[in-house]
Amino acid sequence: MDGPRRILLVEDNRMDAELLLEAFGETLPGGEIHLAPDGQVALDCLLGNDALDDRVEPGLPELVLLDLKLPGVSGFEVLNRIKTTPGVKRLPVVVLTSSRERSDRALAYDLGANSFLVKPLTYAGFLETARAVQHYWLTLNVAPPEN
Amino acid sequence: MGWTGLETDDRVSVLLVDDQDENLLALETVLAGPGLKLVKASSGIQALKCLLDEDFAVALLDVRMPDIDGFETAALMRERDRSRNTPIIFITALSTAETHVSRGYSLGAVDYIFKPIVPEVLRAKVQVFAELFRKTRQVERLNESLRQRTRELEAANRDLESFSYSVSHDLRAPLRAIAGFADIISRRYRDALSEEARHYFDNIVEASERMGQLIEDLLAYARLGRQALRRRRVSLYELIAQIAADLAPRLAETGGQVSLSPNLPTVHGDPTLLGEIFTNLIGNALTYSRPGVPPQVSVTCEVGLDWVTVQVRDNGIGIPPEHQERIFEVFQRLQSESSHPGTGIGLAIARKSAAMMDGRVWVQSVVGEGSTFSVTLPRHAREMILAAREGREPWTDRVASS
Repeated sequence: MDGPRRILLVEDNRMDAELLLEAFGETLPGGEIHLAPDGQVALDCLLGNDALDDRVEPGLPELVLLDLKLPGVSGFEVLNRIKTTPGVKRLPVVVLTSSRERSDRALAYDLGANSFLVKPLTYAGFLETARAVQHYWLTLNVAPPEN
Repeated sequence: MGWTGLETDDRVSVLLVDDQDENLLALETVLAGPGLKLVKASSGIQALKCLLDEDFAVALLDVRMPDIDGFETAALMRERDRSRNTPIIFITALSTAETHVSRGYSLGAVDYIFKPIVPEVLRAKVQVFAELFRKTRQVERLNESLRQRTRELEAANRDLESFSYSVSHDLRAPLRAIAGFADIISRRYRDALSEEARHYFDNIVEASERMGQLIEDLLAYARLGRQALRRRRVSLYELIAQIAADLAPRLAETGGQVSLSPNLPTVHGDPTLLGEIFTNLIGNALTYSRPGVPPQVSVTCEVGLDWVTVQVRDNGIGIPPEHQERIFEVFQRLQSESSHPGTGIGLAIARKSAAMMDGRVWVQSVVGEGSTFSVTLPRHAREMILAAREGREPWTDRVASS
């Protein structure tokens, strides 16, 4: 699959989002990151929304980076919708959260998360995460067939 | 707490059951007094109704009554939860009929009084049961207030732990921003910055990294109370030997040594908590060494039937007596960060970990000579014996909640 590597970042914290965009910008030249600031926007982007047709991006991203604590529709709900909706359920979802809680990890994996990452505390950590994510998920990993 | 209830209503109820009014009156006359509330019933049925509403110290049951007699009443009392354990004294004239007596005992009677009634004997017997009932009720009330108090404390503890957990959790988001953007500036614009500005940005990055460490430690401390205890057989020798091995780089750096007594026993404890305790104690022993004196740490133990005390002895700077309690509190440091790095939470974690396993940690120390940290842990001999007898692993049928 050629063309720009597209990632959907679901993150409500403006500063975390900016740091992640900076970090991916440094490590993923030519890539595209689309930011969804809450769960509803994320679902609209992925599943489409007739009322907001102009907001729906054409085509699916290759990867979803998902924060869990989101206002309104929570990250768990987004994850559940993705993993139970034909057409998007094979989309790799990497949870990226500040929670290390056992219960959060259990639920995320139960709902079908493909990976669970804890937000680093430093920008160097963000760079490392961005590099590792794009290397593994966009380079090494063989994408699922569309369904 | 409601201690006042103990004195205010200390009257106890006694149930008098007889179909003859004059007999009831006689019993009432003999027993009348300030400490007893006398409840009269003129039949077995009426007695059972009374027993539904109230707890009695003792029931005096006439054996011979029409409809259901004393024995039948007793049998029905025994079928009901509330009156199953109510003591019964049968009152009977049938002193010679031994079959009646044994039937009464088989129904759980605790005593007999034979007619004609001797007032002193009746009073004495009833008083014994009244006193027993009073004491039992007191113990139950004390138990209940203790349970209540324990529940309140546990709830307060949980609140506090979840509070400090969420606080530290929420503190991390703005900290990430401070550290992250300061770092971006100091990297990306390093050449554009003056030496002074670079220095300040380095300070921001360094301070936020330290703050991050403090929050991590606080989270680790709060998390201690949120996880269920998992008890396993743990060889203290193997555990501490592993910790010493993990500390090898620091030992090499300082020229230090850790020596273990070979008699360190096996205990039943949570391996994670035990690891926290000894990692922190031995790590501290290496950190707080005297300048120019390579740290010597010895780990020894005393083993009792029910407990084991492990001593971690060092030759470090020592702790003045007035600070020997304070060091176990969260974020208490006696030395400057620059001379002895650390966040000052290790001993708080060690103490809390020990407390979670019903143990404790304390210190004896001489300034300039060294410190001895002692960890006492219960060996739970009873549980081990019970488990061996029941053919199961110790603690396997018990899950301690946090």
